[in-house]
Amino acid sequence: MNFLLRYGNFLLFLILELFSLFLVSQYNKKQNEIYQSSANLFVGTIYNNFSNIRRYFSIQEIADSLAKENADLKTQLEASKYVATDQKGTVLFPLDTSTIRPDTSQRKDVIQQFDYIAAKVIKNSIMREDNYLTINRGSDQGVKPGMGVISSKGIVGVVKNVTPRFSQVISVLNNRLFSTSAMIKRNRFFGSLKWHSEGEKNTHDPRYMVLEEIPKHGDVIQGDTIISTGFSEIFPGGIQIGTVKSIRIVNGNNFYTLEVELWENLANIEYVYVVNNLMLREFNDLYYEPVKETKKGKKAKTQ
Amino acid sequence: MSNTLILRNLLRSVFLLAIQVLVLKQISLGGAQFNYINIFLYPIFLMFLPISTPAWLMMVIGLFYGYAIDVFYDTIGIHAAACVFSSYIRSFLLGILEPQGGYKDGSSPTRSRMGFPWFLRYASIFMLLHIFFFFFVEVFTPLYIVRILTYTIPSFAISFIFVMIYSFLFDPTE
Repeated sequence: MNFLLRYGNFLLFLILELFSLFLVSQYNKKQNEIYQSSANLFVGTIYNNFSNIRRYFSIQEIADSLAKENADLKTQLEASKYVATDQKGTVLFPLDTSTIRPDTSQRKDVIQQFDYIAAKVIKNSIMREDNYLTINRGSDQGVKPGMGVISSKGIVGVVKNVTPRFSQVISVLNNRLFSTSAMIKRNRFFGSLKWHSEGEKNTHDPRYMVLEEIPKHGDVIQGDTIISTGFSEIFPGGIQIGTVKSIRIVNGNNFYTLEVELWENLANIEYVYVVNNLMLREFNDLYYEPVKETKKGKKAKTQ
Repeated sequence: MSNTLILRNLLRSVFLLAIQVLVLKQISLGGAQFNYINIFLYPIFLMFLPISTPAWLMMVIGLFYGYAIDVFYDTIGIHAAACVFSSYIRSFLLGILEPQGGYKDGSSPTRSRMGFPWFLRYASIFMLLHIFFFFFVEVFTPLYIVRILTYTIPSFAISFIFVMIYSFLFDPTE
């Protein structure tokens, strides 16, 4: 009784406050998500269920199967193929992701280079300086760190961490970790694509990225289409990313900086495709073999 | 507490609630970029409750009052949490600011009662704590203390001006 008299008000305060906080976390979407969230991917299951509840089951199934079908169709696109030739005849197809030539799948000299894993975005951020997404596919489905992630309308990011069922993806809206090469479709001048220019104020606008280091002699027109180059082993070439919105030259610089309006709306993206480069090992051998050799050489010396 | 006092406070709560949700909620001072700047006038009701109100009653009133605000703001629980907090803190605040002769029975801590300098201190601390706790719950992550403070300070500044205008306009004498 004495205890109640002394601490009664404080206890009541705690009870009422906890009750209010309970209300806050139950009935407000933002706080509810914070409540349920955690940086690690263990709680991915919760996000998965949370996003599932919001949709009708039938729509969900149809959308899933469509996404899978899209992944299969993308696999058939020419940009996903590697065209093998013998020493005499050179077979070169122009990059064109919008047409499917059914005969290529029958040909012996065409080898699959990319295939795609359809995935759903279950967690996304666009407001921070360095943004990440979480998708509901992981190592069980063959996702590995370093794989590219694209969508039907552009590039989305690069896989960073993988658990058996989920993957964390570095978003293209990640200033610290993301940059890739992209080019102007019309004349193939290429530059590096990232969210913001160095030293520029972060506007946190998920609709735009900048394409830097386009040489001054390359002619650029407002409205030019920007596509991926395929220079890296992460993304296939020819993925359409966006259009040029404005062109400027940073003072004292010899390059254009283009503001690119993205076609993909990263604020509400739902289905993505993880790019699996089937020839990745060959690329690694090509690029990283010398490093291994020097290491071996060093070891040999120490022994 | 006499019946007129209850009636006065009841009317004040309804009036402030109406002003808050019908007028102040519609004003977006910061535009789209600073849309977190809110004008808080409704805590005046809690601030002006009679000094002799027991703390438990304060908190229960605060909960319901805050909940009523929340219903209009679509922020179930956030204003309620802030109101419960400031109601609880108020008894300590009054204890700290207690003048030499003590408080008179049945009086409210209003400007005309307590004098302008006293009221200035009381209102500023009360409003600051209330608004801080509001954004504390709104952001919901104590780690973002810098963001909480950047939300709090502009809102506090503008709200405090409104509180002062209110105290001069209506000048409750009870």
